[in-house]
Amino acid sequence: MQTLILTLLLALSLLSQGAEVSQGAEVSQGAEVSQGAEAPAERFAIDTLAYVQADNGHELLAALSGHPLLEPLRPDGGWLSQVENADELESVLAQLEELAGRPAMSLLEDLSGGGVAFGFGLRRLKPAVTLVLEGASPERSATALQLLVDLGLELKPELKHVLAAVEQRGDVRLWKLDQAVIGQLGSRVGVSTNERSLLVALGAEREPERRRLSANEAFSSAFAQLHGTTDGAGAHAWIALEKLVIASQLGGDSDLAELALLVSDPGAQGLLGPGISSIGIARSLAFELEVGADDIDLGVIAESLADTAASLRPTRAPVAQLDLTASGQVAHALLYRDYATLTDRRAELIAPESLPPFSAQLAELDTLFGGLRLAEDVLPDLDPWIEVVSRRIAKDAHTPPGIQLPAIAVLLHVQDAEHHGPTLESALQNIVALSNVDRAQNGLRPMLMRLQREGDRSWSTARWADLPEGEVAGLEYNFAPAWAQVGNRFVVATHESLLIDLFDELHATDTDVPKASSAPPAERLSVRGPVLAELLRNQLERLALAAALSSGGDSAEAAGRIEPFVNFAQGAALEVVIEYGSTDLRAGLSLVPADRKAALQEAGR
Amino acid sequence: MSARLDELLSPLASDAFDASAAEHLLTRVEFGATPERVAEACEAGLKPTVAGLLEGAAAPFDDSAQTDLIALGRLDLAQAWWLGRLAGEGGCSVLRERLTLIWHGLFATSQAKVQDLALMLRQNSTQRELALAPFPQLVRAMLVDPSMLVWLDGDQNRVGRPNENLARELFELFALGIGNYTERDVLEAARALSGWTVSGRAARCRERWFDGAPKTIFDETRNFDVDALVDATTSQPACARFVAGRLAREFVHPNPETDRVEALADLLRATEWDLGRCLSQLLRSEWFFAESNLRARIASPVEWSSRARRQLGGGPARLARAQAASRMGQDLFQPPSVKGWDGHRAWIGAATWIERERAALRWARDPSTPAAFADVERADLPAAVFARLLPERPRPEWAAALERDLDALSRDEALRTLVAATLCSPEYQLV
Repeated sequence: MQTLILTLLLALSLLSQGAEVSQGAEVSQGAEVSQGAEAPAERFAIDTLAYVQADNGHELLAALSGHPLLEPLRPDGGWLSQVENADELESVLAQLEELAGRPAMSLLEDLSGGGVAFGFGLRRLKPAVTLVLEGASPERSATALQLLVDLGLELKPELKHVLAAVEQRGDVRLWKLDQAVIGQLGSRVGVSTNERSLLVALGAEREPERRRLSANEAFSSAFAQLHGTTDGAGAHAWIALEKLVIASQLGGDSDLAELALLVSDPGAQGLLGPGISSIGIARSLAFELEVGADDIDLGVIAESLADTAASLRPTRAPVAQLDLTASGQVAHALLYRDYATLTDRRAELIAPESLPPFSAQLAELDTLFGGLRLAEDVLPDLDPWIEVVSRRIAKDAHTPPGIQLPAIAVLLHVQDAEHHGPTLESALQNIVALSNVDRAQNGLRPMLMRLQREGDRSWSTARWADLPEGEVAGLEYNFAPAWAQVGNRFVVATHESLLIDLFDELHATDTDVPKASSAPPAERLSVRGPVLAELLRNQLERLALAAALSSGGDSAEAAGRIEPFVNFAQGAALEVVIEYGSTDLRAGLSLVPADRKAALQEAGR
Repeated sequence: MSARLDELLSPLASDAFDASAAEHLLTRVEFGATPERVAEACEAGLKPTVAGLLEGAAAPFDDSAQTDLIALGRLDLAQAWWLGRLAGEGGCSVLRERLTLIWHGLFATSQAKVQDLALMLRQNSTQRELALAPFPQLVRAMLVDPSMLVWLDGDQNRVGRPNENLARELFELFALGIGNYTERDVLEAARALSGWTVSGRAARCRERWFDGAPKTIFDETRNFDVDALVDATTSQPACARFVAGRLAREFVHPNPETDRVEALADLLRATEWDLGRCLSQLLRSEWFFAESNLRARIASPVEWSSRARRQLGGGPARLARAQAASRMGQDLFQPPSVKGWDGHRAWIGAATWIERERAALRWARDPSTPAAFADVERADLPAAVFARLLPERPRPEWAAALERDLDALSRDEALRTLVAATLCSPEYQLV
């Protein structure tokens, strides 16, 4: 950190020297810059692999650091206290503020009020990194730089001789360090590992139009869609993922390449879905971060997804989307998992190395279905749109777990419910029975399975034997599964009480009437923080013990570390939407105030 | 007390209890001590120091956190919690925890088979509660302990279908040792232990599964049940010798002299298994402080880790320390077999030595480590580190070579290097 601070100071000192020398020529420089006042992306090369642009960087920092949703997470000593060598950094900033007679944030505004742009690419197979700050005006930039150089000289007087080594390239002043080049042109200051990239980024030289980043089709089709839509403080980024994967492989790093393998991994497809698991095969990714007064939004576009696994993505909206909400609801998700296609076309959709174990597991599962074959006879009749509900449940007469997790239910839409409902019900009974055999062979206790009936409703349950009064149950007591066919739905819940609640709600919902929707098919996840916060708060003591043992300190200290996250959850709700286009997908993550989310839900009922 | 006892376990002269002796006592009993604690013990004298240690071990304890650990259901957290207690964190008696560890190693039971953390922690609590209790009481508790019954198939032992596992290990590994019982004794003892089951985390004897017919054990015929079997077993002369040998190996020397062990066994018999009195005499004996017994044991991973913690304070979080101890070969609640850990030379192997070195580096790099030497000048660091970690001083040539290597390093780097090098020095492995 110290090295970084000193490098920054050195860089800024050098820049400031330039500003000092060029004060008399500000107007002409300003005139030069104004000629190149095109969008920052025009000043980066077409082969840029990663690009970040914040049109109002200082506003973004200010908005994030003071955002009400993040307020509970703010450390006592402020965000800066979390930085390595925070004391040193705070001391430097205090000196700077004393010199300037105003807050450091206002200096940042002077230096980057016009925006910040960052690019990473390869030039002759060497990494080229370029950062450009667009000052609010040449005058304000120069003043801020002068203050920084004064500070630099105060902290490191030995820098003085370095400041003299300035090169002039037209109106650009350049300082060459060992690994980097620093330049200044009017209100723009920049640093890069490549001189040519820097001169272009400052606007002193120009690439032909066809060589500019803006001419990159992938860039324009993704980045441009998001940029310009931000209302509050924000930032945009773009990654040429396909090329970056190749570049990282050339550099000996295979992590990004592994991301691309998720799409042909049946486990990833099942867990993450066709959207997230295919992000790794996109040609490029564009990101937008928008920090509003109340909420924080992150948008992602994955464009030009390869054809691989396209058949696993939704092409239509759900047949019947339920509206399941309850006061104790923790989360609700509408997911698309096309297991029928995945198993039917596994030879082409699953990686060759994963195919044998996948097929073997499929054959094992066939034994549960009483002569039917899972892939051919059962999965095709299950709608790929699945709903998942998670709720806090009330205590019942059975032994409660020592740490209570929210209950989860999965709701499947079955096309031939009369036929397949009983099949699924007995398959799950078989699973419990077989697991009991396995447990018995290992000397472990079985789950007790029962068939329950109440009026015209019937369902199956399995649970661990109740413990004697006073005994504490482990986490496994959060699992007391219950399952049943409810109309044309098949519901599997981790707890019987959740299943019973859903019986009533499903009967009250007309699930056979498709809801017409012209919107593109979208997966959705909604998480309500306050219920989660209440669950955490109720078992804070035990969680604090775990945190103390894992991370150090005593339980009281550990509780102090957890509480900010509980308070954060108390005030926040998370909304995730993944929309599928024909060749791309858009994901949106929104952190919104919990009370607003609750009000919206109430209004929607 | 007999003349033989007086001779073999004669007390150390009070003026011989110097800093070196105090450091030896506190390392063996509490895994380690700071120079301040050593000075305090010297000032108090041997008898009051030992009395204080034993009073602490006999004081009420609180292990109610076990309830939370059962709820969390994670073995690694339970290991971390116990390792913290073994290092005296939270103000608990290290001697009581040390004795609990000795009984855990003797009545070795593993979560690998029991598969119920609640049962494992209950056994741990029983061993803690009976840490200083008469040995027959502890044996009885272990024979009907739910996790032990599951571990050694005691819950499968029925009249007409005896399972000998528990009875065999009672004689061979827990109380007598090979050569002190016959095969028939084992078969008959298994019948005496029949009928026990585990249900709802509790052990109980079902009368219809108990073999109520007469049994002949140690040449005595009667209707033995678990209580009678414990009485008969612990009355055998070999039993006191067996326990005395175990205590001597843990506290004095890995290969203790036979006559001293016999003397300690006599003391156990004479005091009717008053472990507190026996330990008091042992820990104050000339034998305990004999030159040949100083630094004669190789520290187990738990001892090593707890010693560093007690000498340096702070250190990695308890979970990281427990995981390191597991990698070094001592997986608490999961001993390798019913024999427990072999100990001593078996602690050091190619793989486990590398783990000791890694653990030493983690201690040295931990942000809390410099706090123990905050007031020490750069030039005085070697002396301060050796005084705290190796009060007996390292070999001069090794120390000189190490100090030469420190010349080019900053204070922080020098401190880390000194701590790491000392913690993985051969001398530090000996306690």
